[in-house]
Amino acid sequence: MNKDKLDTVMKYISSAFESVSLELAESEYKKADSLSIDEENSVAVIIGIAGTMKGRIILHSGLKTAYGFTKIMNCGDPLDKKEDLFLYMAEFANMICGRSTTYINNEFKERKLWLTPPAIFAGKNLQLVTPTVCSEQLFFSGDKGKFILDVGFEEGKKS
Amino acid sequence: MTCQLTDLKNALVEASTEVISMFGLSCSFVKESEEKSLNSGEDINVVIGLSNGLKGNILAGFPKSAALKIVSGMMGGTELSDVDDMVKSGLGEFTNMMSGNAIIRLKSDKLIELSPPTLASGEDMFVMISRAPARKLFFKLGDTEFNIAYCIE
Amino acid sequence: MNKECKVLVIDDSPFVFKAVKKALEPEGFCVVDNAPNGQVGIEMAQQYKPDLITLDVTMPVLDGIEAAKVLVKDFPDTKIIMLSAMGDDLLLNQAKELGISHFVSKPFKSDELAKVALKVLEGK
Repeated sequence: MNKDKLDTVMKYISSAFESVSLELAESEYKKADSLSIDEENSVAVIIGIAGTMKGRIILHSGLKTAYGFTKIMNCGDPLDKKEDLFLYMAEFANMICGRSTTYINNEFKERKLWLTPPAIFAGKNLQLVTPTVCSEQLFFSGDKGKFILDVGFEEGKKS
Repeated sequence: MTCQLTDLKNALVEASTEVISMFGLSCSFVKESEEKSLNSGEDINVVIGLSNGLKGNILAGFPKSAALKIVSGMMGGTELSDVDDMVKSGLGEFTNMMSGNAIIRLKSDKLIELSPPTLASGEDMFVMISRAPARKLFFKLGDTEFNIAYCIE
Repeated sequence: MNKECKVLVIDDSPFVFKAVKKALEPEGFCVVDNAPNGQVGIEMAQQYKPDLITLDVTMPVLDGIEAAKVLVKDFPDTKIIMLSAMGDDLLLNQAKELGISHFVSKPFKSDELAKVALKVLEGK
């Protein structure tokens, strides 16, 4: 993918994260130059992208941050089951990706990108890698914690 | 939907057996089980998403022994002892080949798109690949084993 | 609204069910149940005969577009609002072709959904 196209995609994804997180949690997240997930336990949502650009988006946060954020999504009530944390985080990631691809698909006036259903992982010292993609990271920091959006696309494919 | 699940199951079983055999190894399908939506992860997990013609996820789970055995086979029998970047890359490629091989076997009017494989590893892992219960296929690979969970939305 | 309006939520996300209840119950709607996919949604529509359905698009087993084809035909008096994280023109056109003219993007504000729900019931 050429640099201009990638910059446009990253701009839409960043904008989608900021607007969705604000609407969901009424909490503003500011873009940071870099940060790390400094919690031992973390949760990551992977959503695949297929179509004219092939890749994936990973939404990654510490587990405490995820519980705090999803509690707000749940109208301030703590979640009943561990499973609900996964479902809520998947929904959050889905909304970010859905909004981003809406912007992108509307720009190109046809459905250029398809999203796969989310896969969610949680654990200690979680490591995620997609060997065939080149990725860039977007960092967001707010009073409810930190999020990393890792966006990667395969090189040299149809664009 | 039931027909699609059965088709995908059969395609994954055939594809796994065929692709494994390309590397001089042999595996056998042991059983299928229905999974809860939230499950424990293996040492290394590789997820590939499906979209467009068929929406869902394929998750291959490997204990360390199976990961090393498969990638060693892919590298012509090279001895491997650690799950390093090269092994992860090999596992991703294996899962990609297996998924692609499976998808080709399905009859679909629309193109089924695959996302790139993502590997996840960690400790005390939990995984969810579907909001609905997934199904898991278990394979014996010599003195080790691996599994493939799948779901369609 | 003169009578209590029954709302069925067809969505696989427990978060959305909660969000719809939060948006509509203060306006006098009665949110009767949550179906986790389109197939169960059709069964529940038969059971509850809701006045209004909020319908997600991406769901396991039977997605919103396929469920809508049945719901529009079998429950002509039931109004449908489609909810989705994806809101591109292609999807909106697909919904319109099925006879669904009300679409709300996720995430939605409570008053936004309430406004659309009231409008839909007034036949606007």
